[in-house]
Amino acid sequence: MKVPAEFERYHMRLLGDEYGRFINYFRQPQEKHSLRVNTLKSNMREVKRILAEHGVEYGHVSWCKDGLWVSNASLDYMEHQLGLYYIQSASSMIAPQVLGPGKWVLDMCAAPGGKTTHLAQLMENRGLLVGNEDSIPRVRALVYNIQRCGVSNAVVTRYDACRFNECGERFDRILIDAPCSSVGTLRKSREILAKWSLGWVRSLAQVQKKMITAAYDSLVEGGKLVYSTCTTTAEENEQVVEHLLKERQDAKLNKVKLDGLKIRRGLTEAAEECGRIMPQDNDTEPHFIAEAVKNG
Amino acid sequence: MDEEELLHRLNRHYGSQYRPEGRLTLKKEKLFLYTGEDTKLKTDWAGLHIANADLSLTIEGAQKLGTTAAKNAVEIAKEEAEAYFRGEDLNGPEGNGPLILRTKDRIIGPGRLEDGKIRNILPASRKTRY
Repeated sequence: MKVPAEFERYHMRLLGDEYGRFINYFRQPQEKHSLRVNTLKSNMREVKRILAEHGVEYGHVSWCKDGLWVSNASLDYMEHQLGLYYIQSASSMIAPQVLGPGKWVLDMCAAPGGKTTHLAQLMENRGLLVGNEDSIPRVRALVYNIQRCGVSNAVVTRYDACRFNECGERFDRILIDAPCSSVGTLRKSREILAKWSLGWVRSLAQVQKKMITAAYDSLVEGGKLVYSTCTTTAEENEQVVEHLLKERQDAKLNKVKLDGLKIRRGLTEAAEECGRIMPQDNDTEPHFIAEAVKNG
Repeated sequence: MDEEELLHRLNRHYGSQYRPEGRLTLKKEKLFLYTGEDTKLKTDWAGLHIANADLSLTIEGAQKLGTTAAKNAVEIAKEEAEAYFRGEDLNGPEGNGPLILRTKDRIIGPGRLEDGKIRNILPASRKTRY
């Protein structure tokens, strides 16, 4: 894997002595895969039996009671199409659990639907779940997964996430899994390296700042927002959260925690309560999670 | 035909006693189940597609009606179910019309009986790749 000089310089400055371990993680082939049991249609015992029948070895994901590490990447069996489980990275199981179930829940950038369907099972198909996605091809993937997983409390919308607050509805829980520079996907695909530049990162951050403010303005008082990315840069993570704190002074950060998961703190004092999930700590893709409460 | 009438026809056709857990809506000949709360948002999709006006079911509809279906439900072997998910047609009993396929363990989905053949009506997106 050839790492561009700009990427290397940036991450060496960000990670210091740990850069070597960090970049080595992406050089290893992916041996561990994962899935989430869809409790709207099945249960852990049934899915374990199915995996055993297919000769797939499994182990529990320590931070998600419905998550399983599995030895096989090719899990598109009949039972998958029946919606009994969702093939999903273990790090993608973090944000919906930090957000938790609510009465009115918005998933602002919802496609392809892994987190939306996870939220639906946490909500037990009750309340209102809005899966928002403005790209038509990605909406198809979202609808496919909502249908496959038997989600019946969800609607799909195609609003511009940066202006969602203009739509007139307010929510008690909002998840923004923001489009990002996706360093976390490097193990699956090297494409990100070819287009990675600080200029690109900064342009993504501008959109993310609009999204987090629009999401915050779409909360009811006391409502909770979770902002997550699968990338490493401070521009797309801590600086986006700091932008929210500056623009909306009644916003308060909660300390991000999840049992069974090693979480590092945010890189700046203002965003210290945020969580950084590093690949070398949990054998997952890197992730960033912030939890903010309105009028907290 | 409205939602209630279609539900009545479905229960009569499959000999089932399905009582929806939420509101049914009929849009463009497709029957949806919605258990969410009402919103003013402009939506592209709402709820779960369970059936069609021609009495065929989706996989999710078969999973709901199939638990109590006493008619037009055929038990197949697991190997046949896997072949069906790969896109194959199956041999079936005489007769015509939509039916529910199940194995001894679980409900598999919808099919359409045509002169002793169970025609595969799974959408391409729901077939397995292996």
